[in-house]
Amino acid sequence: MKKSSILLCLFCFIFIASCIENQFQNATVNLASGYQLYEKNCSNCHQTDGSGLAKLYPPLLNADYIKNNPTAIDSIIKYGQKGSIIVNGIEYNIPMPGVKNLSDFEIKQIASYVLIKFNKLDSLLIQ
Amino acid sequence: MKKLSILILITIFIFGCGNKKLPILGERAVDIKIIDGKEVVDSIYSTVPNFSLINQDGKVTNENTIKDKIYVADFFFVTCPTICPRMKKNLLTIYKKYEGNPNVLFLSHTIDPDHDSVSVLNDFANRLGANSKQWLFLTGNRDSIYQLAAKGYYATALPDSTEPGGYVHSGGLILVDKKRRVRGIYDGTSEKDADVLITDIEILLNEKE
Ligand code: HEC
Repeated sequence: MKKSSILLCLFCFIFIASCIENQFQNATVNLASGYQLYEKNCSNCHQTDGSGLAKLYPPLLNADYIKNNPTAIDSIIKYGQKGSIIVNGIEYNIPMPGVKNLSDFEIKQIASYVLIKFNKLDSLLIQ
Repeated sequence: MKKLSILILITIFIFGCGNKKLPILGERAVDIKIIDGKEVVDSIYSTVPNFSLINQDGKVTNENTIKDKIYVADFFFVTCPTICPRMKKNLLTIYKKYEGNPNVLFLSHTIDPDHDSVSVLNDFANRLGANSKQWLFLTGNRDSIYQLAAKGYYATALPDSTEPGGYVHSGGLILVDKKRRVRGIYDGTSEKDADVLITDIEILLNEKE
């Protein structure tokens, strides 16, 4: 009797553990494709490491603008961004074109990559 | 097998050791002169033709500006979403290395002069941190810029509505010597090529006439 309950517990444990494992894998898979999409669509301006370029292209790495507007990324990717904005104390004012031919899922993947990798905003991924 | 490897080593030694010379690109004509009754054959290399464009300060820039200078030329446009930003990043690295050196100039030509006016280029250059004495952003008549790209620098620049941003262009960085001869063309999007370009500028700086 006792033995079987231990066994049950063990099963439960393995089940839960594999579940967590699965979720973890999903997150890493998303980050990997997020990275690829980022490289293809964003890195030429914002650079591979997200540091931006001079006063032309703002940084995405540790950017106060993103920390203050974490949900704005999706629409920035989709529709672009125009007009003067201040990121980490520096003014930028060159229009960013919206990136065409991206599905909503791909946009989410890029946004997650930018939030998690560049700004450590993990909590936003749990939706 | 052993002989072969020795041979390879010797060739590497011979070619790797001597001072590297840069080729002179483009067609060349031959000029035959008679000097002291002897035939002397002289090659005439193609050079960047005369031009007249306006820089980001609204000043005329022409062949006199580049007289006796080594310079790096490129073709881009401000709103370019694809390769230009990478080119500009690599150019910025090279520019930083030669900032203040009066022998080295940078000429960035817009291929979208309708949009990239003097004031747009001025803003762009300032944001990049480029000094207008050494890094010139040039605009002017559209056709003359395209002609200059094709004839002077072997670069292609064409409006193309199917390309993102509306233009197709080569993304090349073009190295020109003091005699206006093209000495190398590099992939502006590649960091490795930017390093090669820096070594080649050094070679040109040390080149004797
Ligand atoms: C053609 C160059 C270019 C490309 C490609 C590009 N951006 Fe931008 N991005 C800009 C510029 C320029 C701005 C500043 C816009 C302004 O001045 O209003 C900007 C602003 C932003 C901002 C807000 C400011 C900041 O730094 O937080 C975010 C977020 C952003 N971009 C994300 C992206 C993402 C994600 C991609 C890829 C899907 C991307 N961008 C592709 C040029 C670009």
